[in-house]
Amino acid sequence: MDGPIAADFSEFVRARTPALLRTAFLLTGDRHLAEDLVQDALARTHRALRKLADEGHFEAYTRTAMYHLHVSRWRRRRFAESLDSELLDRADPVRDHSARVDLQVSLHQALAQLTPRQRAVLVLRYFEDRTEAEAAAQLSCSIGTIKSQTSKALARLRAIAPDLIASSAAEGAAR
Amino acid sequence: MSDDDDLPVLRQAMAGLAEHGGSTDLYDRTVHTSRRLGRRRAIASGGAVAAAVLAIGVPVALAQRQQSPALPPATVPSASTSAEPSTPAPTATPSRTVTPTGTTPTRRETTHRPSSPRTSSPPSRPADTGCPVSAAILEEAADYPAGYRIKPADIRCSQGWATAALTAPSPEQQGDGVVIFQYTRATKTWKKVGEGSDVQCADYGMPKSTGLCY
Repeated sequence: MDGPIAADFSEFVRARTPALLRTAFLLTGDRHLAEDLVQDALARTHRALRKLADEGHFEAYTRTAMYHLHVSRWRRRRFAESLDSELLDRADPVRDHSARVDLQVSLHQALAQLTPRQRAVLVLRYFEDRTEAEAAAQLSCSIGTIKSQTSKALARLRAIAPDLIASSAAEGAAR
Repeated sequence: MSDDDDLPVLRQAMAGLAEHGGSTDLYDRTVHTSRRLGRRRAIASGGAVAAAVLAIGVPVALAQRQQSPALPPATVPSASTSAEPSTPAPTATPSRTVTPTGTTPTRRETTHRPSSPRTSSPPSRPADTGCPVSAAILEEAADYPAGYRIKPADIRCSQGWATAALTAPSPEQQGDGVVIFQYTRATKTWKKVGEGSDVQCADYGMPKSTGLCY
């Protein structure tokens, strides 16, 4: 598969892989699993190059494939320890950003306890800043499902890592 | 839900956590995986055709074998009209009904459109729901990465809908949900419509009477 489309795809992969990896890392919680996920999604895009007439569709197609692969794989997470230690190494109490790193550790542990779909919904809504309708289109489900999954996921986060939610509520109350 | 829409701490933590994703160059791995997928798909489609031939051909052959002794030779062509395509092949060879090899009727079953409105009286064939469906067909429709399998015993099929548990290549990757498939009668194909551990009928427009959802 050569030609201008292949060249565009090559350029797209090299330019957008870091952004895709960021999303994939939130979905999987592990760098290696994130790479696998992005790689598989990109491979599906590569298979569909002939259908994707212009370059603008590459990312949308890849992201859709990534979310579908993630939800369908039900990957079991066995990565919490390694990543936590990596994060904790950076959580120097004397430094200003230690609180932020603590929150990241809490978030990482909390995300690992959600279902893949709940996790995907949270990433779409609060990382990619998608609307409920856009999230529903991305995951090929109804808006009602997005609402219910978001509600369940946030309720679980409240129970596991109240700092992530409670501090925002406190922030809101203070306003 | 307005509170839930504005969660700055959560958003900030997500943005920070996402930075651990790295920036590996995946182009070569992507192309390699794409080629592997292409080879796997070619194998799967060949297997799906073979499975469809077996899945449909064997029951038809058995049904014809059961019917043939009860029917006098003169009635045999009319009995087989329901399985015939619209081509009015005059005086079909009677030998076809004696010992069907399975190949001839099968091909007609899988590749031809529904016959013209000359419905014969015995409604011996149920509506085309796509059931039963083979694991190979669903694996192809599901389009999962190499190593993921659907076992025939894990397939449930009813009224043009099917669910199947997925067997992961390793225990670490094994999940507890099912993949949901819908049959398209016009094209005689199955497509994946979703997956999850709780299959709610309303999410997919699936009738509760299938017994596959709630």
